[in-house]
Amino acid sequence: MGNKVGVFTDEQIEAFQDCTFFTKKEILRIFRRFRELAPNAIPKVMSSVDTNRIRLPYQQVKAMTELKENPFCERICQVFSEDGTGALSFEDFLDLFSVLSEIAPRELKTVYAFKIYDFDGDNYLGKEDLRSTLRCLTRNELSEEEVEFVVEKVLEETDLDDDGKLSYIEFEHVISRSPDFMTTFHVRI
Amino acid sequence: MSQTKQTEEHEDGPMHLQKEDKNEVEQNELRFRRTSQAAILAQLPSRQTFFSEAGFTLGRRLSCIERRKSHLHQRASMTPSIAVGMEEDDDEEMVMANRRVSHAVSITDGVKSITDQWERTQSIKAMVASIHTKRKYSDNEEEYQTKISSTQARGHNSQQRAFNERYREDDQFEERFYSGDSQNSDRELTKDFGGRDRNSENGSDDETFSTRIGFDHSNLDGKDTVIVRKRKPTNISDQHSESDSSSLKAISKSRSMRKSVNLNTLPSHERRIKNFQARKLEALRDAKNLEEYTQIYRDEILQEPVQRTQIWKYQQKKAWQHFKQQAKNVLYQLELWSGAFKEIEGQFGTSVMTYFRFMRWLLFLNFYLMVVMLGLTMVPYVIKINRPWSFLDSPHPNNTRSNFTGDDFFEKALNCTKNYIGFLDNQTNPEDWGSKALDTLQGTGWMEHTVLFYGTYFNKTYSLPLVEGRLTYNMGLSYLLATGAAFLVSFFLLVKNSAKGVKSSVLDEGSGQMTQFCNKVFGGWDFCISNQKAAKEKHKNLTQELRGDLDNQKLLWKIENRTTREKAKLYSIRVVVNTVVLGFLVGSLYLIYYANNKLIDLQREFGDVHPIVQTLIQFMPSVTITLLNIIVPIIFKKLVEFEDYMPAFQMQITLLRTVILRLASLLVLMGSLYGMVVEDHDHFVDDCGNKRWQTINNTSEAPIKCWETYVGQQIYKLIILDFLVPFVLTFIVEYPRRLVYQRFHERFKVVNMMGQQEFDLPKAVLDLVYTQTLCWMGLFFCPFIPMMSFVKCFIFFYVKKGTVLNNCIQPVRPFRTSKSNSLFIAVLFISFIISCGPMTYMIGTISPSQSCGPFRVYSVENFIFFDTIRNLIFTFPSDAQKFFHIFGTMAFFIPAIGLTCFFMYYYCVQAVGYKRRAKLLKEDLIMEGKDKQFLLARVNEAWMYIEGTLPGYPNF
Repeated sequence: MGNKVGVFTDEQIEAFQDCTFFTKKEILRIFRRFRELAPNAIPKVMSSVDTNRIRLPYQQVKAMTELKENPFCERICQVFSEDGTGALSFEDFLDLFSVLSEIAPRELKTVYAFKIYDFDGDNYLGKEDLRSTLRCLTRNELSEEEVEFVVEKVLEETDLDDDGKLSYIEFEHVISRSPDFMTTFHVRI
Repeated sequence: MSQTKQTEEHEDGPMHLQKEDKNEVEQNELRFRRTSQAAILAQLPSRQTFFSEAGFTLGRRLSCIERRKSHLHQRASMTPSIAVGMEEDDDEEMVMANRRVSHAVSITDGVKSITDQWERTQSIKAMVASIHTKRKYSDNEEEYQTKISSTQARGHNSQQRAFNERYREDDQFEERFYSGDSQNSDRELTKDFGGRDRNSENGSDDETFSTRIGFDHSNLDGKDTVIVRKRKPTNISDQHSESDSSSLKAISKSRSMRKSVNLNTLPSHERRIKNFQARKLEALRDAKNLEEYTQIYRDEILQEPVQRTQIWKYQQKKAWQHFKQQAKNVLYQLELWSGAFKEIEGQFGTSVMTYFRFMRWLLFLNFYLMVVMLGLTMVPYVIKINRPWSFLDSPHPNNTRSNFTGDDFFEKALNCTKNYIGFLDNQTNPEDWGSKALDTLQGTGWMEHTVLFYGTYFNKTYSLPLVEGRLTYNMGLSYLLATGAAFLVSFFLLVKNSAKGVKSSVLDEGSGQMTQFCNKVFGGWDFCISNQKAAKEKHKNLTQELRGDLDNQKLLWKIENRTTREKAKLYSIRVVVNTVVLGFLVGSLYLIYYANNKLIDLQREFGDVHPIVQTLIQFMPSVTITLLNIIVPIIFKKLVEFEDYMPAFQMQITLLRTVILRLASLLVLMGSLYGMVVEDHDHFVDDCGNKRWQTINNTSEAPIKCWETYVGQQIYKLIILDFLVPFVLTFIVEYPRRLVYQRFHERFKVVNMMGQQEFDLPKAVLDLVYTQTLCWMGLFFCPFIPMMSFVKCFIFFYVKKGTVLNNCIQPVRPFRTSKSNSLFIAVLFISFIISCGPMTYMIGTISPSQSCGPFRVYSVENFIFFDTIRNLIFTFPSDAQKFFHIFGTMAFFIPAIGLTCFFMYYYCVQAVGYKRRAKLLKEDLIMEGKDKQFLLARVNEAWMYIEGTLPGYPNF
């Protein structure tokens, strides 16, 4: 078998490679990082069942240095976990970093960014979602009035159909014009 | 009245017909009623189904619409009744007619709105029905759906036809009305309608039902009419029919008017709606079919054997992608400083990172320049075989094959060189190590002899070892070409990079204002940040930025609300500040000029003092420039605060002023050097291509024996200083400052107020640009300069990285990543153009020294640098000569410039067009968004009708 560590079979690695933007080496590195989070809970050799079955609760995933300081950490984990609780299996974990990797295309990133910012999960970014986003971004340092103003401004800029919330299409439109999004929405691992 | 007439004209033919054949009209009318009743009949069951299936809401809504319709009927019937009530008064006939017209117009609107309402209900119905069909997949439903649409169509047609006929009748009525035989006409009409009513009553049960619906309210109107007319009803049926007739008349009239107004637009609109509905239905049906299809055939699709070639292709594609990714990965790891980038990005975010990226770009630029310059000048000079070590030992040109170096010029150059070398030997004492070190700093003494400077190179055409006697190396030509190539390389790299910048900035500009807040909210957080401190800073930053934007808004409002007095005050302040800034600029430029001119004076005056003092004097112009560059920007930064600009503009204008100072100071330096080199002086002998070759009358100023080297030395000194000052500042100011802050910021308020060093991005970038400008300006006179800037960039990367990571905090108001890079490149481009100017001017007009350098042997009197190239061209075959000659003539330049202007104009126009198109597309997008919202609302409504409540949005 080509892989030195022997964590996965070649088929597994190949499947991961097909489904993510990572090379074999990177996948193994990510696995190491994953295992570092809970060395006891995760076996050294993962079967294809284990990759999906064994889940780390959010509290443990949060300890990742790459995610620790991210204000949207909880949302990210929730979006990528299968059951929405924030508990991540290895596959979810890999998925997370694949989407946030540098090579992931803008479309994919936009979809997940939308999900992350959609706090209440109603497929729209409503005012409450925007408020939550702002609170996360500024750690509650803006006053209510200021938050309200910024939310109004954001809606004014993006809400094309005047329904008081952003649909995915509107979000995509605005992201395609946001010059900073692609440079900021990635995590190097 | 005029409108009625208009309609009369329109319907002239039918009216004529109608007059002739009254019976037929009646029959038509009858047919219409039948068909329309049939249409209503067809809809009735549907209504019932809705009652049962879609709950009561839709039914309620339908009945509401019907109520409104009848209300309109009521209103319509009012009009003629009023008219009839007043009819006895003949004098007011015209007035009444007018009023009637106006009433009719208002009714037209009402009817229109009703039809719209009706159409909308129809579309809702269709949608509800289609959703039902989709949901239940029952064929019955679908059948029913098609029935609805067909009946709709039929009903519509028949209605129109009927209205036409009614109109005719209406006209007839009118005729009679105006003839004064109103009683008669009334009676006649009554008869007509009564008969019709009876007819309808004779029809089927359903028919009666619908009739009742239609005319229930006209009964009521009838009563109203009675009251208005104050005439005792003789017969219920008579009254009934009369009111009926009047109402019909009103409707028909309004219809006819509407027709005359909207003759063309209306049908197409309806058709469009119908088309739209049909298309929608089709799409839904297709979707349904597809779903079923996939459900049925899913297994088959899955089991379908895939062709081997396809598999192979897929595998190849996959492998190629993998290879690409891996290659990228390897390249990424080979990338210079990628680790450092990650570290900086993690702590300071991407905006500071752009500075380092810019630095790395400059590093590579300087590397290319270095390769070009050294490869073409120094390397051939050093490695040449059979070398004469000095120009003095070189063989006489008679022995070489050169055609353009005459004996006289060669002798002259030989003499001048001897003089120059003797002068140099007098000045330096090679034994003293201290003075050697000082010379190193100044580029004088022993250094003047080295390959570092222009003066050492000499043009010796020598044979290469491999092709003996065949190939010659023309050092002068190579020197010129190397300079040209260096500038071209820089130009192309700059254009390439700035094109990237322009692209992003154009994109930015288009939407920058529009998505300012969104960019911050959705793209604000840098997901790369993995450091707690940095995260905290970033949070603070974002808050500040958002607050800044809010303040911006407030400022904008404030600016809008400024009073004249405030404005006057502000503008006077701005004028004053600008004057002061201008004063500072002019003053500092003069200072540089003065320092440069005084330099030689002072050199003479303090000729006997200690060499260190002499060195200091030598450095005077450079120190002046550097000091001014440090102090004046700080003053500018303070001054701009009084001007009360918008923050972004404030930063830009400060940057602009600083750039002007920096580049202008360099230009002044070049100018003063130019004056020294080119202008005639009273106290000097002009010889050997140098205007200050030898002093006469024992003046205080020192002679310049090789002006190219002299200029090179000035720039060399600036570069050395530019390298040392930030280095020293970093270790003497920034590092201790941090230590002091860390130790004492809790104890002393002053220290706390001073705060920590903030990373000043614009200033840091300006420093880099300045160094690069020096490099471009100096590379001709001192071919080693690109290497020096290369080394400087390399060392500075680590110095800056260290100080940024350890001593600095993040800038309070960071640049936007996308914007800053294009700004850097723009500034660099300006400096490139500015440094290009003097260089081309010099090569095209000034004569080189005869005492030093590769151009010292002239080929003609008044030789200039460019003559080297001209001489080269003369050695070409005659056709090639002609070809190159054309480049130098006006016949080439004028069309070339014209063509360039034309293309520029063309692209400008195109850009304007694109901008406009983008604007239109944006509008389209907004419209589409509104459309979508409208449709969603309709669908939503439909759902509400189905569920009875609001169940949440359908999940698309």
